[in-house]
Formats: sequence, C-alpha cells, structure tokens
Amino acid sequence: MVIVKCDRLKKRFFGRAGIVKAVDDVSLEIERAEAFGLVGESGCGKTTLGKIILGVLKPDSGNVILGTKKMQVIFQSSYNSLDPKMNISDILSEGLIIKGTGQGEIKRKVEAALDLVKLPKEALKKYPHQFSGGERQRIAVGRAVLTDPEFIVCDEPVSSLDVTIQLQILNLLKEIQKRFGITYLFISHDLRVIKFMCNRLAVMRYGKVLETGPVDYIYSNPSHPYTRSLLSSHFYDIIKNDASLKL
Amino acid sequence: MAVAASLFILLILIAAILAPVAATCDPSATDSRSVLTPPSKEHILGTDRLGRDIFSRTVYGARISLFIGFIAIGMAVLIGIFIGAMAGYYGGSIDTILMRFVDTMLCFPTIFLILAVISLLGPSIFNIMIVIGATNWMGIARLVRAQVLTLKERDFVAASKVMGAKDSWIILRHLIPNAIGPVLVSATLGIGGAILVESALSFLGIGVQPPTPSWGNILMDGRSTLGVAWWLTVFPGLFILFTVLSYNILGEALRDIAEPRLKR
Amino acid sequence: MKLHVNILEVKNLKIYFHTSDGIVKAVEDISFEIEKGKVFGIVGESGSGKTLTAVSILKLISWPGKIMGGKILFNETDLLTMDEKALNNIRGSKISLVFQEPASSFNPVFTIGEQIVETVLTHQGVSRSKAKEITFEYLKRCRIEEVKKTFYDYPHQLSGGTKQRAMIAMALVNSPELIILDEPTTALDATIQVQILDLLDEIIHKENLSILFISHNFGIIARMCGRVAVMHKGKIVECRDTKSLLINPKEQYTISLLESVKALSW
Repeated sequence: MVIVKCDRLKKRFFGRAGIVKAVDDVSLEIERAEAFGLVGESGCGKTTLGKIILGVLKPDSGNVILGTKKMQVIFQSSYNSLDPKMNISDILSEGLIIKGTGQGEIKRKVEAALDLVKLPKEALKKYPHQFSGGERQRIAVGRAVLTDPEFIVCDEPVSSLDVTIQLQILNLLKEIQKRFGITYLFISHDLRVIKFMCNRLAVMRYGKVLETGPVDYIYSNPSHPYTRSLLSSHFYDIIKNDASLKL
Repeated sequence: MAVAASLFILLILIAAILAPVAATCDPSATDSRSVLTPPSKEHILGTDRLGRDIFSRTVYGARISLFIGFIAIGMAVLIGIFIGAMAGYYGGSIDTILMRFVDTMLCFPTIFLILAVISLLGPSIFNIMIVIGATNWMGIARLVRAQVLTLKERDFVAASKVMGAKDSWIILRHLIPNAIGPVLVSATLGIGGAILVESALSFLGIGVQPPTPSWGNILMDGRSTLGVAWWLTVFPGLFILFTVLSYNILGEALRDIAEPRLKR
Repeated sequence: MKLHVNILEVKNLKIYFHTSDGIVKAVEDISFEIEKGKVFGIVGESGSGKTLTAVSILKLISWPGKIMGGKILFNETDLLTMDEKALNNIRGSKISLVFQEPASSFNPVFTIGEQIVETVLTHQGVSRSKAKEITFEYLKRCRIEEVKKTFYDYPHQLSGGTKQRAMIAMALVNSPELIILDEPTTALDATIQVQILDLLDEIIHKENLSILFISHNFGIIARMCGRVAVMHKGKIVECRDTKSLLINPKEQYTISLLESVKALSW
C-alpha cells in the first residue's frame, strides 16, 4: 500500500552560477511501514526532495500524493533543529499544543516520549545547549514520535554524530519502527547507514533518480556506474576485504 | 564597571518609584524664607528661587524622566519588532515597502521632527513619549529583520511548520525570542538617548512643563542663576550624566554578553 | 644505535583549557613517535583531543587553551622551547598542516595563486616568477585539472574537492618533512574522498614524506596508516601497528569502537 507518491517533481533554484535543477523530474513511491532510503552526495537534491514531500517547499511542477497527514521530520543538526530558547518540555509538547491536545494528555505523552528515547525526567527543564549532540538528537526523535505520525522523514539524522552514538540512534529508530509501524524516508549520503536502516532505496545525482530497488539487490548488483563508484568509496571495505583481517 | 552602572540604575529606579518616601520634602512646597539656599542639612541639594527643595524635585524628576524614557523606548521596541519581523518573515513586496518606509523615517532629522510635532501638538508628557518613540524604532526594525532573515531558514522553523504551526505561531514563539538579544542592547542604549532628548526638550521649555519637575526643567530654572546658585545646575546635570552613562555602560555590557569576544 | 629515525616524538603532552567552569584537561599526558617516512594515524571521536594534539605541534593553541607541559621533539629539537620567530620558519615549510575545512583555511579575499605564492616567497628566497612556476607545478602534481584557472580563482569559486587539492598543494610547496592532516576528507563527498586519498597515497610514495593523519573514520585510518593511536577523552588508549590493532584490539574502548564500525558495515 503506497503511502507517499511523487509524480514528476521539479524544483529549480536560482543561484550564483545560474539555474540549478535541484529536483529534476523525480517520481517514486514509498510503501507503508517500509524504510525507504534516499542516497546521494551533497547537492544531489535529496534534501530538497525531502522538503517538498514534507510540504515545506513547493515544487515548480509535479505532485506529491500523500496517504496521510501525520508527518514528522528529524533533521541532521540537532543544534539547528531545536529552538535554543525553548526548554525540552516546550520543545516536546509544541506539536501537541498546536494540535490542541489537552494538558493532561500532553504531560502523559511527553513523559512517554522521554521514556522511549531513554532520557531522564530532569531533562524537561533543561535547554538544548546543556545536552550532547547524541542526546539532542534523541530529543528530536522524541519530538517526532510524540504526535503519533505515520510517516517520518529523517534527513541525515546521524551524520554529525560519533560512530558509537550513531549506532544508538539508529537502533532507537529501528525499534520505533518495529513498535509503531511507522514509514521512514531515510535521507543519507552514508551507504552503511542506508544498508542498516532501509529495505529499498533510490540513488540520486544532479536532481535525478538514477536507480531504485531493494537495498540488498542494488548493493550487490548496481546497474548505474555512479552507484558503482559510490559503493566502491566505502572505506570500511578495507577492513573486511583484507583476508588477513578477520573481523 | 557594568556592575556599578547596574547598581546605580537600580538605585535611581528605586528612588523614583518610592519617590514619596525617598524625597525629604514636598517637591512643590515653596518656602520664601529659604530661597536659593546652598546645600544644607535641611535641603541636601539646596533650594531653587521659589524655595523648593532640589533633592526632592530631583527625585520626583527622576520619576518623570525615567517614565518617559521607558515608555518611549518601549513603544519603539514594539513598533520595531513588529515591522522588522513582518519584513523579514514575509519578504518580497512587503519587505520592500516596509524597508523603504524605514529609510524614509531615517531621513528625517529627528530633532527637528520632534520640535515640529511638539510645537504643533503642544508640549505634554504624552506627546513627548509618542514623538520620541516614533523616531527611535527604525534601528530596532532593521536589527530584527536581519535576525529574522537568518532565523527563518533554521531547521527548527521547518520542524515547526511540519508540525502544523501557523505563521503567527512561528513568529511569536520562535523568531522573536531568538531575535531579542540585539534588541535588548539597542533598547538599553536607547533609554539613555531618550532621557537626554527629554531633558533637552524640557530645558528648552517645550518638554515637561513646570511645576512638574523633570531634570531638564530644573536645569532650565538654573540657567539664570548659574553664577549665584550653582547647585541648581550641577546636581540635575550630574544626575542626567550618570544615569545616561550608566544605561550606556549597561547596554555595552549586554552587547559583550551577547557577542562574547575572546579577551586575549 | 637507532635503526629507525623518529621525525617527531611527543612526550607527556598536556593541554588544559582554563574555562570559567574550571580547568578542562583536554589532552592528558600523551606520548607517541612518528618514524621518518611513515604514516601515523590518530583516531578518536569528537572531544577526544586529537585535533588539539595536531595543532599543538605547531604551537597553534590559543587561550583559553594552554600547553601545560611535555616535549615535542622534531628532529630532536623541542618545538615547545622555540621562540615565535624560529617557529614561523618551521610552520609552512618544514612542517605543514592541512585542515578539515578548506573553506576556512584559505583567505576569501585573495586568489588561490596569490596565497600559495605568498608562502613560497616567505620560505624560499626565490623571485616572484619562480614562485609562480613552483605553484603551478604543485597544483598540477595535485591533479588539479584546470591549473591556470584555479590559480586565478578565489576560494569560493572552487569546488570542495579542488579546494582541498589546492590546500594539499600549499602544504607541499615548500617540501616539508612532516605533514599533519586533520580530517582532510571529512567535509567532502565520498567519491571525492577516495580521489583525495589516492592522491595522498601517490604523494607519500613519491616524496618520501612523514605524515600524521587524524581522523574519526577507522576505515580511512586503516587504509592510510601503518601505525595508529586511539584517543579517548584526552588520553591515548592504545598505540600499535594498524593491522594488529584491528585484528586484536586490547582495550575496551577500542573494542567497542570497532564493534560499532562493524555493526554498520556489510
């Protein structure tokens, strides 16, 4: 069952070097409860596409057909994505306040979210700058999950974190998906993260989708030369491929 | 230094609020026996040509001067934030129109504008506040607009939008609280300026009208008797000096806190 | 008699930060050696102190950070006891440093060419035209495609990959003995990262340089470095040749680090 359908989306930006086709005729479908990866290097248009799907940006042409109104987002830089002047309690309850949820219900849900992301109750009165990057990202995850969304766009949610913390956050996201059946659009430039999280993916470059398909299949049988070069720039191969290193 | 300045400001504020308690005498009580007496035990800062106690008049004058300063700048801040936020958030033609309006207002030489308005509408505390406020909001509007322009691109604004927040929510809840830093600095410095303007107007006779005391009109009284009764000029003058200086120091200190620079 | 010569020996280095909340021991008594002609890596997560270590070699630590003790022996001379004048002769010529963000290393108001020529003129007593020639040569060696265009371009006109190559060219132009690379490819796209690392490989072999390579990425360290030190919270946890460290990590921190890496690999 398709939950998000993109039909021939186009978006141009007017930059210093002229017109940039950030999203150039992109069509794709995301199925309910799957984790769909959007992979590509910087400037390929994946973040722009994510913002169009979220409704934050309007496309020049084409449609986004959504099977749900309950969408949320988790951004890369938790420093930027949490209002520095709001305390954690306010940050978490914002979505519910906008929806008009009652005070008691809000309190219950905020505490449940804190529990889910494994942060202590004392965190509620603190401000974002008092937390580490990994903890802030957990708050962002908590905020996203609080409003019972059906679809979450994760835009490079772990890119700026240390590798040990990355694993914690990714495991948390996986657990959430299992529990609540949420659909993910997972945007990343990091192939390892996509492999860990997603079952299907699309490879983007210069605003276009080069290939789509199941992650396992594409990783072992890339058809596009660009995909092949992306896969071969994966450094950890050296740890695995060197026969003498049995990891 | 900033601590000293803040303490001074606090002192003046308390004195002004508690004027009836702080003043030693009734500021309008005339005493023909002690006309133009120098500072003494009875009258700490001396008396004026109507025998009124200068200290008490200064304390009550603080009330007026500070009141005008705060309200005028308060107005300027509200107008400035509103216009700056609208221009910065919506951009496009709204931005252009509002900013050209700001430019126009900046072209007017404020002193002359104030003089013109006062002479047309008559000098009253209310008119003075309005006119000082109406000529001081432009800098704040520009500051707020600049802040809002960068802030609206931050991810937390996008996250709010995704959660369904309306424009008014984003502006009031996210943009303005984050933009307020430089505004606070500007406002603090502005209070000093407003007090100066009010004192100047009162000194010229078109500000606060006697018998209501204001530091400016006490100075005006002292003009003719400068050689004989120096205390009529020196003391109010010193109060104006130190108060404005304190607000300036405080404002600079706030700026240093907001934009910390490495000392070494 | 020493069989191998050490180009750099760091002994008991301590770097503390004097903050308003107290003293932070950012680097706490670390020691390591870099053999001449070899590539030595420091791997660690953010806050481990690896970047501080790198910049301290050229005494580029500024207040509130301070080098509190230790020795940094470059060819047997302690850099920490040198005066600024002597140090300036070493910086950019005998020891050079390539930063993570090429954007912040280049001055935006001067062209790339001007900046590289500047450093050549400072350290080599040659004429301006000769300096220009040397610059062109090294830009070419760093596999920059349009050498002339890049020479006359301003930093913002170049792509990330080209800027980083220009940075490396600037680091090489005075034939240094030791190059310190602090996360030189982190800010670049994956495909460009590979190209830059290939370039570095080539250069290492041709010029017989000694390299200190700092990264948080174990894969890159494994590829580039013969020996590696693992840093965590200001201390060196383990320091051995890369292969044996990867096959047989001894310390708990190294083990958990490698496990996270393994968990995300396929």
